[in-house]
Amino acid sequence: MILYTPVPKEIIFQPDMAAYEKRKEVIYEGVPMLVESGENNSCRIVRLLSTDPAHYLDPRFMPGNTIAVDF
Amino acid sequence: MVREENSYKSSEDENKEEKASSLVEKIQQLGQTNIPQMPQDSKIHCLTIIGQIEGHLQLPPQNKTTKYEHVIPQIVAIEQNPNIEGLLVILNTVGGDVEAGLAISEMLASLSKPTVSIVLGGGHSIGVPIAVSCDYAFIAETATMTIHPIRLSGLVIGVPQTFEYLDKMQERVIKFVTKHSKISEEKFKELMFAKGNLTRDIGTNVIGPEAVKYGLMDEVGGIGEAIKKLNELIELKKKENEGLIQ
Repeated sequence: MILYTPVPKEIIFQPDMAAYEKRKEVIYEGVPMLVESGENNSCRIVRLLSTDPAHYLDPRFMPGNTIAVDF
Repeated sequence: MVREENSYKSSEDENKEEKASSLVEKIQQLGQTNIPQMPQDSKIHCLTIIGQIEGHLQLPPQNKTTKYEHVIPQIVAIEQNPNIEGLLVILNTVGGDVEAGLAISEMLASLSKPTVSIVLGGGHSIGVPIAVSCDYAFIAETATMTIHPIRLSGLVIGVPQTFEYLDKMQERVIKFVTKHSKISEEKFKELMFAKGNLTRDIGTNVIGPEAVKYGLMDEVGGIGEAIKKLNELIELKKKENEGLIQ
């Protein structure tokens, strides 16, 4: 199927809302980050949103780590 | 005695296992084992402009985006925090929303602290004004910047009113870029409307040294040069402030 349209791809193929609800931005120990909900009240770090380079060097905030925050 | 030895052995084994599992965990999570620690708060903060610059339309969560609602409060915080002396802006973006891009550019341009930008990989489309908005702009030798006219999508629109509107919007981008870099308006427009460089589009893809030649960026360089320049600018700023007190 080829679509000839000026409408952006994101509007035509809209993702389901569940995908949006799974991710949330939180501030954990003063570090802003994007987390993904996991099992029993824990979250997985997806990406740090901080501008402080030192935050990226802290092993606690490694992307992929699970942290205990209420989602 | 024997029992004690056994228990000692088993605890040692446990320790080993624990160490190994935490190492495995780290490798699984990051693909690496250890990262160096920084002693104290960094005086240079780093802002990454990656993926698409998101505007009013929220992109699907799997897209890598730079959101202005993240970036603008960060710039405000950097301006206000007295411990932060400089800002390094790292760009690897395909472009995105014009209004959001210009908003970030204006914020960076009006920041009172020294700013240095560095384009790695790509700083395309609306990434161009963001790159030139900093006090000094670096581009990696292999990095590219696509300069093209503003449009709603990959297609050309023919309705005169829409054209007028887009033309005004484009004028804002051209004004900003020519004001904040050494490139002339004629040259920038020439690159923007060049034919035969891009597939199904008009515009030019300029690579590292070319961007410097046209006066769009200041220098070809990487992270080392960028940090060095930023430190120089910070020193210069400090001296200026000292001069004011006297």
